[in-house]
Amino acid sequence: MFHGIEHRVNKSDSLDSARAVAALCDADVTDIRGGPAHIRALAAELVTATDLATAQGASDRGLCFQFGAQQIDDALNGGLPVAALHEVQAADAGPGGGTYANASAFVLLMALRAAAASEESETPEAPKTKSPILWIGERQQGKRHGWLYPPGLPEIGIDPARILYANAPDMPTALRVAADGVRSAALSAIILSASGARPKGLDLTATRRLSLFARESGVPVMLLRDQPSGMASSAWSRWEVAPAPSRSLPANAPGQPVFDIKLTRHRGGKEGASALLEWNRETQKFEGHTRAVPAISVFGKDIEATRKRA
Amino acid sequence: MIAALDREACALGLSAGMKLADARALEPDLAVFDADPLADAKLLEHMAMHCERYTPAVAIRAADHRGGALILDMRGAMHLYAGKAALMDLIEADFYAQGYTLRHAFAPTADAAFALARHGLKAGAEMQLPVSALGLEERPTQALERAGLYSVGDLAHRPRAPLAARFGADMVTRLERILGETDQIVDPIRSQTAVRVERRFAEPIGHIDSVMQVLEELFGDAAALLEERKQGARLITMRLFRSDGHIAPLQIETGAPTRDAALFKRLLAERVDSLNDPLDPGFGYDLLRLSVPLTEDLFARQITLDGERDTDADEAALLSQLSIRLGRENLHRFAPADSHIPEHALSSRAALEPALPFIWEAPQRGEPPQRPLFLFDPPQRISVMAEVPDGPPRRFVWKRQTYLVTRAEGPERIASEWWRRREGYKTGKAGLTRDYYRVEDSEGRRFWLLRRGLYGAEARPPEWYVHGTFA
Repeated sequence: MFHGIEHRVNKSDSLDSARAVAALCDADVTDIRGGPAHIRALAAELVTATDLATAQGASDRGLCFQFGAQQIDDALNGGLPVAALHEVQAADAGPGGGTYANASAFVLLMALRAAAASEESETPEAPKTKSPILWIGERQQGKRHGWLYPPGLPEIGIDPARILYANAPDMPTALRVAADGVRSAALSAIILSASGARPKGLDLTATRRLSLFARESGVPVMLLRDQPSGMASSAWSRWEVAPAPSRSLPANAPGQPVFDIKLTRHRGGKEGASALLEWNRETQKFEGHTRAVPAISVFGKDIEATRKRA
Repeated sequence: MIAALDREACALGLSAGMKLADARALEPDLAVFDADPLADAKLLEHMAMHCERYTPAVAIRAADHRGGALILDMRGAMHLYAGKAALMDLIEADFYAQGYTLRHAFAPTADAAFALARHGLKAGAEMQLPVSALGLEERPTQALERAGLYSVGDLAHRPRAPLAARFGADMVTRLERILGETDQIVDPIRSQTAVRVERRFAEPIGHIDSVMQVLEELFGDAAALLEERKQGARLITMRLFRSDGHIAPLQIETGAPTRDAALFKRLLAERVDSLNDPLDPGFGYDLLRLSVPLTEDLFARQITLDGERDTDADEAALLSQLSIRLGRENLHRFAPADSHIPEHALSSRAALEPALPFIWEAPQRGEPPQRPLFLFDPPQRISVMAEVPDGPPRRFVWKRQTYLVTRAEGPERIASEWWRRREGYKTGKAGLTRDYYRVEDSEGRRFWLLRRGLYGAEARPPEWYVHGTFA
């Protein structure tokens, strides 16, 4: 009997499902002294328990948050874990060309969704006031990309009073601030904004520390990069975000923000998933967005035709 | 009902306790103000603090509708003055200079002095006090009067035991106090001295670790003092006196009042680590002093039965630690400011300051974002091709990159704050008007473009800028 169980433990995929089997084993050791029929029934029970654990995939994800748009949530098989480090990179490293703001908005909205998921999971009898979201930036980022402008936050549905800003003199200090913030249970999310191709101090060890602390304390950490980077990172998921043309309003006015997101790394193996999402400020959820008809310039001419001619 | 009146009103026949309607009937042009007992109590406290210059033992007698009283215990301080008359002249002059007149009296006991002053009698005239001076309730006082006892003098010579039996032992105690036979301890108000603890060393200590340990112990002593007062520390200052005379100052500010030694240890380590010049003991420190200049009320908190972590305390501890590491102003929140100029519509508040519930302007339902997420300071210059005079940009060049505009909305006109300029009310001196456009280019990037100045209205052609970027 014991040999059979050992065999199953070696073959199981994740450590947690193996632990689950071992726990069941420990609990029922005294019952095995029943007859052979009893032992067979117990073995059947253990088998179904292990199969269930493996079928769930990475069963150690814990609490997850979803985007709200069905296509991407299904592609992610349930959502992204809250207690983890996620990385978002702006798709274009252009000279402050407007992609950074788009990626920042996406990161803020992800943090908002993660915080909302952890709030909902708490007991409804003891509703707390919402914990702050900490935004850590380096001082020289303002010259390149501009400063985060609080009156723009209610426009995308975030309460500016909820954001706490930290200006760090350099990247290593910013990383230490992030580490301290994650370990404290007092924040609902942390966003660390790193600029440049190789920010000083941001390496595999640093990201691994952050994701470990995030896992222990349950506070989500989002790392925002202003350009795509293939650097090895211990983030659970890595996204590349670019802006996309919005659904125009009457009189050809720009509409709600639209994000073109692509999953470049995922611990659950779902790389390659991509989506076009529009943010709905009223429902505080993302919605799938279909690519609009070819953009028409302000003067009514087809921009594609103009481009071809030029 | 009238609470207090001035001399002229008294002369007209009005008295305290009269109804306002009756008073107005007597004197139609009466100037009436609302009674504010809280402000009166505060004023009395202020006066008591002021009287501390005469004696350290000053007590406040409860202020009622007939005014407030201060008891000054001069027993230890009489030698400083030339005599009772001289002291009273001094006090009267002092208060008169501030606009107050007093009634005062000297007596061997506090109760007697109070009663004499209230009824306007001189020292030694206790016997002439009416029985209401005993401070009893209305019914016992009426009982005394019905029994034919109208003044303290009537009571003084009677045997005490029957009086106690008939009117209560309390009445007799009060009588004895007025007559000077027993005394009540005057409970003075003392202004609180700041908590300060220090430690001297015969041999200067040079090891930073020992210094930290001593500072932690000092904080423990200070915390014990604070606990007696039911207060917690908000600001802790330390001075390390080196044997060669150099004094090293350290300061820790916390987000919430605390007496927690573990938190202090953490914040002290943070403070010492983030000093610009590291601590140099030199030949050693021979005096370490810790004081708590800023305190706040902190009552002993009950630990919840299920051991839940107190997130408010955690948040305050985290804010303190990060503020020490980054600098007080580098950890902040934003608050809205009253200006329609976009870059002035907000102000920064350090995170350690209490978070006030500001209300930001909410967007209209269904409307796309009208304000950008990121703002450039200063706005970045671009060159633009647009229709004159009010057309949105068709194309613009920014940092040598061309952007083709596919969607645009605007202009949103924001005039300059002409009231802030000299002669801003005159045309031409009001400052340049701004026109903002929300544009989107072919790739989907959304910008907030600014045109400073109007075509034709000003002498120079207007300039275009990128002021912000949207999501």
